[in-house]
Amino acid sequence: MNDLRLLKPDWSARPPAGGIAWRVRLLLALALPLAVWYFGWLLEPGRVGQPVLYGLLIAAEVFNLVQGLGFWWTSAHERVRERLPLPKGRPAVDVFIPVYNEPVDVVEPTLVAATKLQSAAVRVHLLDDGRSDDMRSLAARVGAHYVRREDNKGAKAGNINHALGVTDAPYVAVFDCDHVPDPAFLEATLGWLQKGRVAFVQTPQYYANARVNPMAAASAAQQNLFFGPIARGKDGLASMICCGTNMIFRRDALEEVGGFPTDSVTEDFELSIALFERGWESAYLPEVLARGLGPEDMASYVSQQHRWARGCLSALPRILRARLPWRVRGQYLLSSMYFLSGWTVLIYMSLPVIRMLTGAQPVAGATADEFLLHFAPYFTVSIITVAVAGAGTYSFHAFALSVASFWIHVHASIKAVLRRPSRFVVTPKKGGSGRQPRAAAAPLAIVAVLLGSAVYGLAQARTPSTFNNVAFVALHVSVLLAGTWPALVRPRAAAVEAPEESAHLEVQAA
Amino acid sequence: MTAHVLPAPEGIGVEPRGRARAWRALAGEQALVAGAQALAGLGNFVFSLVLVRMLAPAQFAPLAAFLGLYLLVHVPALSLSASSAQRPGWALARLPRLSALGLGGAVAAAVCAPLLAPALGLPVALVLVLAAALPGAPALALARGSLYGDGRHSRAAASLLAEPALRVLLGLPLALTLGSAGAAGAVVFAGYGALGVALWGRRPVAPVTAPSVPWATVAAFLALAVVQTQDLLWANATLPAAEAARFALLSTVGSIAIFASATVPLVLLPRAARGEAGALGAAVALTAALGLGSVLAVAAAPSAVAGLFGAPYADVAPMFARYLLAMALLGLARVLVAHRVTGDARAAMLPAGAAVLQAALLIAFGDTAAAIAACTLATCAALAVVAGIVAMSAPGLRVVRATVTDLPGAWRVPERRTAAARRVLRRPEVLTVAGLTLLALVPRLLIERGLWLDEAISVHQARMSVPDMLDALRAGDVHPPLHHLLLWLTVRIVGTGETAVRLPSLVAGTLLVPALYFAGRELYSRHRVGVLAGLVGALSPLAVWYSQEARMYSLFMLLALLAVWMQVRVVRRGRPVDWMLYTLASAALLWTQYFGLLQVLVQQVAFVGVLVYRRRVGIPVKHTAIAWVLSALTIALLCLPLAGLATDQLHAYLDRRAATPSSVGSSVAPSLEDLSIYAGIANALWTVIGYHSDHTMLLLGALWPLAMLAALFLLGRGWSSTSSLVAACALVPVMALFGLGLLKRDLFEVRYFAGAVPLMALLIGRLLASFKPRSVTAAIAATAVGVILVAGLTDQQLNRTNPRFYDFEGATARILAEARPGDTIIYSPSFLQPIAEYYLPREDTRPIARAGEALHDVRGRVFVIASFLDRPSVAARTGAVISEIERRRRVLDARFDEPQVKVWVYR
Repeated sequence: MNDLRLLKPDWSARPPAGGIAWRVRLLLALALPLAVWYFGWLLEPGRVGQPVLYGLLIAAEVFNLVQGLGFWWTSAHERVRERLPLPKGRPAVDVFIPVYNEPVDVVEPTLVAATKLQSAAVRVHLLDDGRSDDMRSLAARVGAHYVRREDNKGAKAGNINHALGVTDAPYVAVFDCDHVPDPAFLEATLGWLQKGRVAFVQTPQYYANARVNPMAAASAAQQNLFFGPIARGKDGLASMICCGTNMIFRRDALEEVGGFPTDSVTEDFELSIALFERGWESAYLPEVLARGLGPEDMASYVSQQHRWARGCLSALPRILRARLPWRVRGQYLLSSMYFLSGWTVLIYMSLPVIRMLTGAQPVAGATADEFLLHFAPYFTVSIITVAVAGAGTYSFHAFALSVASFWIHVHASIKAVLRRPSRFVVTPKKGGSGRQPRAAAAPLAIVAVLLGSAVYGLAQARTPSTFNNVAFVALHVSVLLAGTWPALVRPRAAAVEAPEESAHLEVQAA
Repeated sequence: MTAHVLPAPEGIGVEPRGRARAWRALAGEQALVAGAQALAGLGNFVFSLVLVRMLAPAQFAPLAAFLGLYLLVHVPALSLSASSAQRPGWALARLPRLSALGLGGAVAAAVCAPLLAPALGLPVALVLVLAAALPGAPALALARGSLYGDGRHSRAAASLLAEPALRVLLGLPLALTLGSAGAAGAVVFAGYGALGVALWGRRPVAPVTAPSVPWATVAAFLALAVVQTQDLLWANATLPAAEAARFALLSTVGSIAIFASATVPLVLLPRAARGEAGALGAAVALTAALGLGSVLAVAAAPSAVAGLFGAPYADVAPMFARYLLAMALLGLARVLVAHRVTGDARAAMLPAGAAVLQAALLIAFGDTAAAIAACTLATCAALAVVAGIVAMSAPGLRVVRATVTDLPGAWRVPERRTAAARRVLRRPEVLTVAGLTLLALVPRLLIERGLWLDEAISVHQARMSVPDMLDALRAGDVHPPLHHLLLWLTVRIVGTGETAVRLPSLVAGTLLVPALYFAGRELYSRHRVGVLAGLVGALSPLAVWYSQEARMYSLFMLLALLAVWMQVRVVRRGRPVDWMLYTLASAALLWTQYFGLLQVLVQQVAFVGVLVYRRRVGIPVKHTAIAWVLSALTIALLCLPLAGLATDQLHAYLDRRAATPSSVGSSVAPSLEDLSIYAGIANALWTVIGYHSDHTMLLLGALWPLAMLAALFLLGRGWSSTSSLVAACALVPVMALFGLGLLKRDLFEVRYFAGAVPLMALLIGRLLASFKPRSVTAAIAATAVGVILVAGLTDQQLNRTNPRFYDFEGATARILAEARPGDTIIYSPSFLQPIAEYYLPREDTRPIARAGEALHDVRGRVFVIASFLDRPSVAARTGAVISEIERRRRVLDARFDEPQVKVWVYR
């Protein structure tokens, strides 16, 4: 049986021929006046309906406008790096693979592939916070160095920092245990670490199981949007974020900032801030050089998203305080604040419910005709920009999953505001075998509320206004159900047999 | 005659030049024989024409019946011609035996003449003459057939020409002296003379070496002969003498079409037997041209043709084109059956079934000459369609066994035939296409409404002569004339009944569905896309609506689809035939609807894009660029005749007060005068779900957030260049018309971008096919689309609150039921005149502009029929007339409303 991670990737982080920057700029030239036209109409004094609802709507629209502008700004500055020649000789590189109770069959291909990294004197270290004898045996079998510490302080960050203390190579590569590196990883990335003050080189995260698992596919589509136009844009603005795996550091940069921060669940994000504060730079190489596994069920996805939301939102004060160049700060704020978008979804979904139950509506003094005349072009260009920038990789299911995760953002932001402690939870690498309605309880509850309000509204009146709100309900319900569908169906057995034409990367134990 | 066996061909490829030469040879031999046949037919026609003037009707009627029976004897003998053309060896070997049989039959017929005469409706003398023809009939058929089979087309032509020459030379003097018997005798003698020409110098073949009789071919042609003649027999046997004579004349004129193409299958048969590619195409093309030419020639001046036969037959004129069309279709079916039966004996069942069908129809409905003609037309149309479908199915590979001489221009290309066989339909696809077409036909045939104003105007125009019609278009219409010309021809073939005048739209609208199947299948290389697009097209409410309207929009849809389909072909393959088809489709589109220009322009921009892209990636573009320029110039040239008409129409339009089309769902938009987003949404909804009541449209328009869902759903779905082209051709005209509509309101109307309907069906089919089969998403999407279409179609067709539904038919029917002599009907507004002309042709109808005069003259009751009362001026004028009527102390007797039409009755 072939591991999917050994197959050639079917996605590229590079843009299509000709790049997307000029297309995004063209769309931006169209989108800006349309945004002005829409908001100019929306913000007229006579538009205020119910003041609180109006305020919420404006806040949501402005937030999304800012996120949209940020996306356009980022995408329009993409940089596409190529490989640089390697330094002379064979530099020493310590490869860290932190594990915490993952299955051996998930870890083994990663470990084996790490031992086969070329173009450097590689020392592979399996950092086992699970303190498993199976992992020890695996490391021995493969020829990797087994590292075990006495405690689990600091979770993954602490694990890595401990390993930093017992190793000494000038370069450190970090791979999550499910991300199988390509033998050419070091050859592709080491060259950039010689340039200026580049502290780390980040490469894309690619989910090999997206071919066979719908949950992983939707999650991968989200990742592809980030590691595609967004990451290239961040790199173009010299503000790429460290993403926790598939990256290589200069040891001296890590040591200068004291290693990975251990007080955050998104240690990689915090590390990036720390490095930039010290004047270090980053690089992003848009080449898939490692293949991992995405979350295969809703519970795994929720766990992952919650950790990211919690960590990034908690970093907001840090970002605001840090001494960063304005564009770096702007980029980090955009990335952090993305996890507030769940609130806007909640606001949008509540408006038709409130309208049908109470009759209150945010906007007054406007006909549907006028609203459409101003909103439709703005919405259309926004959708087109996402489609163009993503080069067709960002799918409806990715969007639906994102919308259906709104409650995660809401929950995480509340916890962040209340400063409730959070703990690092490893994202499961293998999916569950049954339905997971509990993981989708919140969106399903919203679906029930939406449907109930629609029924109530239609029972009260069947006017065009009611139909309009029912249509909005249908829109939200459709998106929520599409996003939560993987949690509601029994997962099908994955097709693990690889297609014959694929190029297999043969990885055998030494 | 020499015969030799050729070695089994081994797939010799043919150079294009060789192919062209062979095609010219094929066409040439067909043309030679058909030309002789045509001349022979003309000669026979002249013969009949002179006789009908020379003889009294009581004399001509039996002669016409004799000629019919003579044909009846010789037409089945055509089956012998066909079999001997297919295998000439057996004919000459069995000629003496068959002639002896014929002689025996002649003796028997002569003996039974007194008994046969009343049964056949002929005098005894004519029965005896007919008996004398019996021995010669099979002999002539076999002799001519062997000439075709041996490739001796010149001799065959000579035999054909000999017959009418002898008829005229002998028949006219004999008719003068001996009446119908003399003329009949000359006919028989001419037949023997033709036999002599055919047999001159030919040596018999020993029976033992002769091939077997192709009984399937014989049976097929016999059945075709039955279809050709049993209506005449039925008419003669069941109708009164005068009516039978009228049908006899109809049959005589109609025989032009069938006679003209009689030799085409015979020339085809030997080549079909050898599996030669291209022969069928030449035969079908020639038969279609001959048939259509016959129809057009007579349709152009039917009264003149009837006048040739004298005043008693003047009222037969309206039926000529119809019956000619039936015979033309029979000729086409005959060619198709002939081709198929050489390889598949089961094809003989087709004409047999048609004969049974015709008999059943005659028994059920054949009580007048017109009804009999209609039964024959229905039978022949059905046979032609089925034979066509069968012809499209893969015939399978056949081993070519040749026992023929080396015919000029022949080529055997089984390798190409294999390729051709791969291109034609397999049986499941035939069933798919047939099923889709049938599905499309059902809703289209269920017409629940009468003509509305625009249709009545079209009918009024079609009743004129062509020059008058073009003048009327120039002065008062805004559309190019292609559909009008088709309608002009239609009314002359099938009359001006509601279904008849909608026939061009019905045909175009039905053909749209198989076209969607083939286009979808080819454009996206997936059978599923074709099926789904065809299903959407079959159930599309707007496509169904305009299939049932005697206007150009159905044809517009079909041509819009064809133009896009052919353009994709051109870009992918670039063959000359593809360029030709694209050019013709685009030109025809412009001849159908001026707004087709928007799509044509989009397509030219697409060509530029293709050229730029190819140049950028290093693909040579010179030939494509040249072909494109030539195509564009050709389109311009073909549309040049429209320039003058279009200019005049534009001036006339600008001079007229621009009226907002009354068919706009006016209350949907907040303001009738302004074009709004909601009007845009309404028009967009109409393209998908058809026309509905204003209230329904308001509610549906409010569901616009679902369009956001649709837009989001398209994220990440992948967008091919083909889909981009289709979408651009669908959407750009809509947006352009919306922009124009902001300047001139009446320009934004869903009918003017009806070409988008089939293109959207293609895109919907593509979208549905992109889901994994049997997945939940696929099921939900397909169900949603199906429910929307069916619900939309049902409501549109049956809901009488549909603002597009004007029930002039219902209102006028009630008026007719109540009106008595002396009553006057005033119609408002005055431009309802075509409606009045169509539905109230025999009543005293006056436009509201002459209401005063009407009220002064009227002796009986006054009916006021009014529509378009949403227009203030119309409402005011009508109100004024009503007030005037009441002022004159007339009492309101009754008042009734039909959808969009009101009627007041005053006594």
